[in-house]
Amino acid sequence: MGTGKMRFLLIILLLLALPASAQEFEEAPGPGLGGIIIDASTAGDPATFNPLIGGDTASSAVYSLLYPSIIGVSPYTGLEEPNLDGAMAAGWEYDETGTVLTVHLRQDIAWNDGTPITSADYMWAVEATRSGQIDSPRAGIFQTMADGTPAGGKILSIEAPDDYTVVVTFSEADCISFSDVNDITPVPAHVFSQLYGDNYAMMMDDPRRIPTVSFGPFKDVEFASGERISLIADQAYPDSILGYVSPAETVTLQVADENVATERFIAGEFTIIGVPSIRQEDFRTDPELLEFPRYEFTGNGFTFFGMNHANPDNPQPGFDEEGNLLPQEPHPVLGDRLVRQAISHAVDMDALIEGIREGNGFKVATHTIPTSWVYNPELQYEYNPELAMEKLTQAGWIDHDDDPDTARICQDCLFAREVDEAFNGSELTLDLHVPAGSDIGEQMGLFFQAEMNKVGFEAIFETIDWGSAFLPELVGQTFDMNMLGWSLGLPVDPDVSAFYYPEVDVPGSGFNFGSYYNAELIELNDQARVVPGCDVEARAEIYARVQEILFEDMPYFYMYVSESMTATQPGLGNWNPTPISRTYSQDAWIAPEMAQP
Amino acid sequence: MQRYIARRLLQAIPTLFGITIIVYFIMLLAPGDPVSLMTFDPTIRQDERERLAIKLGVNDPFHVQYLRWLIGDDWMMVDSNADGEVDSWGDNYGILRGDFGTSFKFRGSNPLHLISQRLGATIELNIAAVLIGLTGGLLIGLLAALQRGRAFDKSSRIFAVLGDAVPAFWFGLLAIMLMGLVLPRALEPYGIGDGSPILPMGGRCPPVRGGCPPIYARLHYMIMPVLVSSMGPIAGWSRFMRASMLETINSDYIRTAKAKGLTSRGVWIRHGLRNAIIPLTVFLGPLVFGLIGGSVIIERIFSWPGIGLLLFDAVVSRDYPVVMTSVVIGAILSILGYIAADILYALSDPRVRFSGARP
Repeated sequence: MGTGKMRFLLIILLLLALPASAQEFEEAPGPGLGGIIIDASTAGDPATFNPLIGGDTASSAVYSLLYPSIIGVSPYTGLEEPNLDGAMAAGWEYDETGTVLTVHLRQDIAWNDGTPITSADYMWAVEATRSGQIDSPRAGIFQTMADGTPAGGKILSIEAPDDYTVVVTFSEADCISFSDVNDITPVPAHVFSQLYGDNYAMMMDDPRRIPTVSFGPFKDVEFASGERISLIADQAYPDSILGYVSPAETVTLQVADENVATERFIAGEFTIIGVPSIRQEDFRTDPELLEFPRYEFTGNGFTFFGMNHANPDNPQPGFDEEGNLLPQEPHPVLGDRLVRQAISHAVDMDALIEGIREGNGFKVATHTIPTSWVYNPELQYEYNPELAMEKLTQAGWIDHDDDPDTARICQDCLFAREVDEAFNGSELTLDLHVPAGSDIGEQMGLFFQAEMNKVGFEAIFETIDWGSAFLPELVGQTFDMNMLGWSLGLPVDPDVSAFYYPEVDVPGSGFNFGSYYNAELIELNDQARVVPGCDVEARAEIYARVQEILFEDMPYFYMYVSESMTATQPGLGNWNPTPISRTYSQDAWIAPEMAQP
Repeated sequence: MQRYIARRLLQAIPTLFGITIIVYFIMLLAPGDPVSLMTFDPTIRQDERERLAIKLGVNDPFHVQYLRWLIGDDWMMVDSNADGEVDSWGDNYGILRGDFGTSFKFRGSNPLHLISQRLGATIELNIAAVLIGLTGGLLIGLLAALQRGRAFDKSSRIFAVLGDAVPAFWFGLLAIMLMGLVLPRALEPYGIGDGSPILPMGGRCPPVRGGCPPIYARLHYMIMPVLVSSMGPIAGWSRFMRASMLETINSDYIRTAKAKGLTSRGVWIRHGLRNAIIPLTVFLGPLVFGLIGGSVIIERIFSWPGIGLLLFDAVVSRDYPVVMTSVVIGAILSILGYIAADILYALSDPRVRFSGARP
């Protein structure tokens, strides 16, 4: 058995072991007698309580408590599984072509007014989204809108042959389109059709309409703008862990400043909090803070320095107007893979994580995070400044004065060879930009600058405003190296089409902002998307090679995955956090009383 | 006076338009666009972004966007389904016909409604801060002038410098730490309190269902934010008052009043204070806008659900309709405030006459 297979099996075994050890809950005082959960949010007001028009974090935090998903994601494995609490699917299968997905729905769940939850509820949401009448961020999952307008997705049709079956037809077999089905949240059709009929646009006129019928552990939203959102226990929820909902209420208070939120938690005003990275060490070591139970886990997002592979003075799309691949001028410095690799050897990431992030970070070298089923721990950047300098010399960037503190110059480097011979003699200089507003971000930028300059770069570091400077130059493809992070949704799929395909290399809006292109990577990724039955093991084998390519090519300098921490007040009962979710068991929580002046 | 007011109001119309054109232009000129900010998410497809840009109208040239905002688009054909072709008449009436548009960020929400949701909190906080700032500032300034050169005067000057120089966010955090953590824990061993915060560390109302209780039932929520936000005004007003009072008490008519044998108290209060306050009325104009303007720092630190944070978020997320609605409201209030201040000044000082008024 190869090491890849062995690793895969180990991860699966680990994931399978989690549920067994994590599903024990103590009996609570009774329905609605488990106290009040109070937490803090920095996300601002929710835009809507309607899952068909919402897309922001604040909104989804509320409506995810009020509506089911069609296919559930396990809080233990992070994978879609049948018969999960709060979800409709009892099972599913693909046909032999891999293009027709049949989802069988549970028949034992109902909205809190007693109406059974059926395929009609999902279909109403589908029709509304596909109508084009509402501003839905999810309309793009369909190939065409209802009026025939192209929408760009792969779902050809969704039908409901009976009350408990949904059939989805895709334009082609594609494993990542499976999660598109879950992009649409079922809503109570009997209520929504009465309110809006076929005039779906009316939903836009009243985005904060309070849902009267729901399916979840909590109901009856009470909203005060800029202040709080409160929901009370819904004892009609059939999927509660204990057979009833333990807390009486859950309240989310808006606290714009995370430092203030942390102090208020310490003073006993909140039940639970995500500890900011800058305070995590305090919670580990300060005797006064050790009383707070905490859970540390590796997050599902990574921080990186994006590197522009194409000439920032002449940003071009991946395809020309006829849809042919458009060859692009290389970036004067970063267009050469050897230079990018040299940077990976120049920066001591261990020192950065230990020093600046106080240990809060898990070093990565590709786009996969440690909890991913394709993670390969063997791929690591080697810190080796000598090797970095060797690679720079090999790339035609020479140390002309034998002084490592001065910038190297181009002598037959890639840009001089392929674009402009007059580039010879130019200095090895780069702009490093980090969004303003984060002390840690600024320190990391300065660290990169210092490390790169030690091997012969003239790196110029600057923090710049996110909205007015950072984002425009990033999506405008006029940057050199910009630091940012991706937070990945669940379940995390290793697909790379959203980041490294020429289709998304569009100056001004695309996410392949570095104009990275590798034909083999695209071919492998395409293969992995059409594996029969979307077999996880078969896909993992393909993605093993995809990761090797990304490691060698370095479209980004992948830095780290944040180590996250959640803390609670002492005595919070039935808190059973997992790396996937810290709150999935909240309907069983027994919350201590919060401090109020 | 009516003619004066009418003339000032007429003059205000081009001023208002000028303000909206300049602000709209600056807003669009600023790097970054709302669609990029709203859709910086790789799971959102490219054509979805383009469709959103068409729907929001942010791809149109400046003059088209401004006109749509000002007079609506029901006179022009628009691309209602965002397929790249115009197909129906627009349905916006423009701000001149009372249509403030819909928020980009809070899809479908009326900006006026969003602002009105936060208005009460901001007015409540700012009125309290202005009242305390004015009362405290005038009182300290008056006493400092009367005790010129003595310890109180010197202390008030130190206080004024500190009040102006200490950033509100730092003072706010300090107050939160002190009243929420340090003092309660220090007092608990002596049997005073149970270690819970002495004052609420943030928010405007208790975190319970059923809406916010009347203001008298939650005054303790206001103490820290009001004190912190009134520090600057107390410092500023005390300096103005001291300077104005010193100028007044050195006037000839004060000397005359003293020579006539009036008591010191009568001279200071009846003659000195009344005249010293007159120049300060010119500050009342900006104060009107200040009452609804909100304070981003105070609202952020104390989680106060006011307009300041809403507007800050709107600017950051390029939510043009919300920004422009607040600009229009702010401009109108500022203009009215300045007109009111001029009238007040003329009414309080008999030497000032309305231009064009009959003698």
